[in-house]
Amino acid sequence: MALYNSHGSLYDTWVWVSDEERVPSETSFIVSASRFLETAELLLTNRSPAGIWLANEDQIELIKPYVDKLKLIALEFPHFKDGRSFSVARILRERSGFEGELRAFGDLLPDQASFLVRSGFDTFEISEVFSQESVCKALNSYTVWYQFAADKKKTAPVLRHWLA
Amino acid sequence: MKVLAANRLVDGIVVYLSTNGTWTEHITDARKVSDEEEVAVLDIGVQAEAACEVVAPYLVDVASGEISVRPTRLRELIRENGPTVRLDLGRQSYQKAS
Amino acid sequence: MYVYDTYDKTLINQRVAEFRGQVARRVNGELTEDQFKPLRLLNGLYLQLHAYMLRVCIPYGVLSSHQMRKLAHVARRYDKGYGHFTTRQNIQFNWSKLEETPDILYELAEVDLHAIQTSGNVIRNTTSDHFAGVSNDEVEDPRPYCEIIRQWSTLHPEFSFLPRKFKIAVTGSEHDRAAVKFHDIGLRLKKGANGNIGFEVLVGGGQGRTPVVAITIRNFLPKQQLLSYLEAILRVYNRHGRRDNIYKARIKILVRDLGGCEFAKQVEDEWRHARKTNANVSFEEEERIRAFFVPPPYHAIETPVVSFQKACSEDVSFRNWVLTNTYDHKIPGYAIVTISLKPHGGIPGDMADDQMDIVADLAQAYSFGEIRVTHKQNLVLAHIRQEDLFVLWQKLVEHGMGTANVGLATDIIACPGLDYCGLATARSIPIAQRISERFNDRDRLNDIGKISINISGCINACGHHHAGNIGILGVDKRGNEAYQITLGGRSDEHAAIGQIVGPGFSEERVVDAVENVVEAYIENREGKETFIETFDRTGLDPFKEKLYGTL
Repeated sequence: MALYNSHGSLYDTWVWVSDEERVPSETSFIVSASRFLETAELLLTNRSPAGIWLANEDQIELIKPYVDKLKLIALEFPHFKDGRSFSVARILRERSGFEGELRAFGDLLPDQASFLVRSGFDTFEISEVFSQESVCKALNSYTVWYQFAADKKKTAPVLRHWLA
Repeated sequence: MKVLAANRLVDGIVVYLSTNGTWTEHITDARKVSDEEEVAVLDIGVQAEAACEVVAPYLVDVASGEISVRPTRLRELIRENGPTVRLDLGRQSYQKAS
Repeated sequence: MYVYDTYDKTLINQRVAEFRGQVARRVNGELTEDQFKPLRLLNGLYLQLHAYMLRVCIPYGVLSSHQMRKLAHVARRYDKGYGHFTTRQNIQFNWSKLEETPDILYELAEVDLHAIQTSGNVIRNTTSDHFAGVSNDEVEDPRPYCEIIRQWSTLHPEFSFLPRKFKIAVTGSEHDRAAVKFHDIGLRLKKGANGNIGFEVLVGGGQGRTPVVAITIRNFLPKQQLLSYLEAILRVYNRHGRRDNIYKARIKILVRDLGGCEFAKQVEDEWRHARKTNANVSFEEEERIRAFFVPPPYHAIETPVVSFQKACSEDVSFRNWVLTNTYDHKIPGYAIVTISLKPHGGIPGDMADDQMDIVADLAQAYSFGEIRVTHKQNLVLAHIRQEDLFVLWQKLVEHGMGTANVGLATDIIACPGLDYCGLATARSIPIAQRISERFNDRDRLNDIGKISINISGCINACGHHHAGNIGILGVDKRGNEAYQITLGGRSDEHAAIGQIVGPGFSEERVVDAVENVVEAYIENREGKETFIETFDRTGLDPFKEKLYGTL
């Protein structure tokens, strides 16, 4: 998997930790939401920043009390056609008070890149099967947007009256 | 008896796997597939899809006469010949002329 | 009608460029078919029996003469000289080539046409009343709101990967010509208690395998809150709609499973948040869009229009056509004309490229260059002076579009069916043709009066057979085509789902069966009852008896 943000590819400083592994103390780590909820206090007192990943079935209400302490929340796309995490991203970005990194991961196509950014994701992982070039091209496919979204970009309906 | 049908990727035209391994628009040139060969031939179709030659390969039941090969199901007959409501369109229109 | 500005044009051109890149990546193997399929569906490109099929969007059914000429050109240059108008006010080209589709879309974009989101699990074309802006029974013209919804729903980043397709319809009139009760979201314009404009919001209607009439989840939504409320509905659906089974993935299933009250509550809860964002369009933007839909420069015409009355009294055929194919206009001296694309024995909704050019010219000459497409697969010229009706009619007759049958038994709605569609289980068009020929008699058509006959070639119900007074569903019975008949469907404000009348009929016998159904109506009607009025009074019994013998 390669990591990207709205400008292009990135070096990933986060480490994914399975439910059975110990969390590292020197590196930012990502654990499952269920593991986090079981041992939240412990994980949050760890030396390195904590992040969690959410499956579609995980309830965001349960992690809401912790959003100001989490540095990363990753949302899963089990299949690229499953768009649930677009909505969860907007909810987290726009009204939960979460200010950390919002990341998309799973089975994603480069063609979804600008939708991910607009829905509030800071970063997203795309398989290395797809070239960096195709991701960057996808990020810049559009310069016009019609609807208000999490990125608060100025949309056409707004720009039309901006200078009037 | 079956043949392997698919749509050609770039233009969507119905094609059949021929005896020499290429894809032909003429069902009479299609490779006849026996029961034992089905799995292997379907796999050829899957490979051809991965190689971007065709899309949606599947096996079609046919009745084979001395010269002609004819799908047995109405759907495949329509696919082979063209719409029954526009006899001037599809393969039926130029096969008649020839 | 709405005219694109640089923002609109830029977006569709960027879409064309994106799709061109996606096609190239498919052809060179970078994208597999599984990955490419949802992307090509986002541009309305299906793989069908004979070739790719391209579904071009006609936003809320409104088209300019200029655009119609481009559709004619596409039909000629890239297809086989014809197109097919659908039950969602779009047009389909049946013989597209994948490698040519970027060029087709490029040419369409030159006249502000596109195929964005006419397929796939996205918000589809928002459809509306084909008499919008010109009928007497309107609260307000629904089209500005359709345009607002069109823009909002186009490439919506959050709602482009829904559980399933999503269809919205808007009516501006209590008399619903847009079938809003059979849509995922139906919107009915109304006046609030203090005279302000808003919407009744209905959710969860649909046809397909599980036909359902929509329920009202909000009696009055102020119009300013339209988009924020739609966002709330879509967000609840996107999060909680089923994704495990495509036959249970529409919003109607979610509404049923949660129950209407709980569903409405979840939407209202979500809306409490959504309405705090900048989702809604500003007053200035709404007014900017509304300005495109002001009435055209109608002439002040003295009525009665003598030349028109004279033509009616002198020419029986013309008079018949006026009675069936024209509708009262809100401006004196004008008429709304429906162009029948159902010539007797012809293919419903199909139009040849030269006919498209003719209609483009007629619209330009007589109707301010504007054409509408109805969801019953006909066209409308909405601004015809009565004095021009005779000349218009003559031209239409000359080009095979003058059949006087709108709303009658030969105005049949049919999906493409097994002749074209990869999903179909039976043919629909030949049945439509034979029914049309069977009833091809002026006196008989007039005697039967208003009746809707809808034919679907499979359970997906693209022919909207559930909403037909007589609905016909083509099925596969042990390898043979067979047809089930339903009766009593309605798509207007009294929406109803047709009831299965009994065992199905073979392809040989279904047309006789339909004739028997009509006979049963004639035998049982009281006074001037229409078919549906008789059915609503008698129920299925007299029809069952006629079809199957004594009960």
